[in-house]
Amino acid sequence: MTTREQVLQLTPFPALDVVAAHWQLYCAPQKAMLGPQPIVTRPMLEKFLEKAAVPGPAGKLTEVLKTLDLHRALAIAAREFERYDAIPAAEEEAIAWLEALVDDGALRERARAALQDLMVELDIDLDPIRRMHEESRYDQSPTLVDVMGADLDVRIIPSITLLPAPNGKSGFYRTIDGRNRLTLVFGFANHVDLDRPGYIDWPQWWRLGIWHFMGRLYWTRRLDALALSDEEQAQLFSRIPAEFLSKVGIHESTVTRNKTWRAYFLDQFIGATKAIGELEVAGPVSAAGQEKWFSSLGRFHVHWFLERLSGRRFDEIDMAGLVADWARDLPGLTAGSPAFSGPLGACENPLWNDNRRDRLSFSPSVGKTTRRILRMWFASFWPVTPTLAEDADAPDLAATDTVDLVFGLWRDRDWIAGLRAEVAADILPTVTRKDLAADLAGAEPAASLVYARRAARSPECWHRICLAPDDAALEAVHGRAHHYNDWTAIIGDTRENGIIRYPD
Amino acid sequence: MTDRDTIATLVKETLVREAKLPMPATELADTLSFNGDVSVNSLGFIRAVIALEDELEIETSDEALMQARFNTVGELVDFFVAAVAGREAAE
Repeated sequence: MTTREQVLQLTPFPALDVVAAHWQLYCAPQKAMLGPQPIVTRPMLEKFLEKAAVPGPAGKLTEVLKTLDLHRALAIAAREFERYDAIPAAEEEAIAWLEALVDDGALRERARAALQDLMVELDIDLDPIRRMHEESRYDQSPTLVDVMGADLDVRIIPSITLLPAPNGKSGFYRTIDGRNRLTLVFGFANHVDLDRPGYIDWPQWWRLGIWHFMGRLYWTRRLDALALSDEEQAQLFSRIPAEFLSKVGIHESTVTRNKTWRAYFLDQFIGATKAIGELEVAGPVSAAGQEKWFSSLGRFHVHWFLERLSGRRFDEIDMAGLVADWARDLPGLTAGSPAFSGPLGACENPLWNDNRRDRLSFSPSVGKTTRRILRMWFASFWPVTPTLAEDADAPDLAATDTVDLVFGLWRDRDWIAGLRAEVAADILPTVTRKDLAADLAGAEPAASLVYARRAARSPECWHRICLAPDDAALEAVHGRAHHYNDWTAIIGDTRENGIIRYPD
Repeated sequence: MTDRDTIATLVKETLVREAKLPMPATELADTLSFNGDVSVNSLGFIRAVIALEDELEIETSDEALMQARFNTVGELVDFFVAAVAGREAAE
């Protein structure tokens, strides 16, 4: 691995917070209730902007932000904007206006004072971000360090006015005067808490985010260097069967559906890059989880890319040859319908079964209120409204042709007997925590468990099973599944996630 | 007849308790939006609505609740004000 000198800056950027706050108040699309929200309230945002006093005609900033979109506006506010393509005149005007705004020294001073007031009022503590960054080990993948460069400056801009991640994040990776600089803009709501054992794996999420931004720019540059014409790209794109473009994950189905050959190709590259990094830093289980996750999101061919990138320096890869190989192999890659080995998150994907029927089952002791809450939750938030199983017995998952969503309490021993056998055979051997394994093997565990199980008659579909000691735990584990994995178990404050190893 | 303020207080206290909101009920202004001002876990929100049915002694079908769209705290209050008025009229 290259010896590296790092420079880490962790500092708010008041002008960027002005942009983010204005976006939140006047430009952001309606968000669902799901998803993290900023720590600041709407009145706080209004007060912050009032103190910052954006100069210029009323409505101008709104017009500019809507013209540019948030990602580009944040790049300009962070002084990281780069032009890759020709930009229409109207957008150039908006860019120039916003660049002048963030260069306005008086505005920056007013914004700095207003932001300071807000941070004191909300008791903002940035140290957890520094710890998260340091513990992420993003720089311990030899392959990716070679790509990132020997000297990488990392600039983290926490924004308390931006939506918290995963929605509120942007990154910019540039080479300036021979040094690589990564700027990460990050919606922060005092929510990074590394002291909570079993909490979301923030260091993992952080390093994957760094690799995502780095990988996207690196492979964009490599692809652009090929200088393929629009006609050539359109011809390559036309060869990908529609099914392989439309069956993307539910999380992305309305956002980043593959629309061009370049988007498709970059997605596979980025996925493979992250899986290689994860293998080198966190090991094969975590890498396999990532590969399955990308596959469930519609990166069906990420394994083909992984095979060609693994064990090689990226700068030695012949891009033209790789594109030619891909074109040669595409008929084989798309010979059957797209399928994946899916983790918990993939259970949500409604696009996999044209005649999909979801069925909801409860073991006898699950309380009336919990049944109603979960029934309403699935009807309101699940992509497919499930029917309610009326059977007295647990569904026979080996025989059913539905996608089953099963909720059981450990004390309903007879009802869950078949599920217990699956847990013993498929999950217990992969549990690493001894206390958790002992508990899950017991008659009535104190732990809660959610796992995905491949549907016997539709191998592209997955059942989802939640087992818990009581109603509250059942609801909680349903909401805390770790999407990258096949199972999540929770005991007390501790959570463990893992994958199921199938014989095929 | 139960007045709106009484119902509003109950709705907000129940929402804070059942959805585990990190703020006192008194800070839940009617104008606050569920789409940005107030972050409510989806399961917690449904739990709060069901709890309110019990506390206000009203029965609403799941279908009616799922079809309702609550953009703001005030709209949730109005839903239960109307439901209580319907119940009291029927009594």
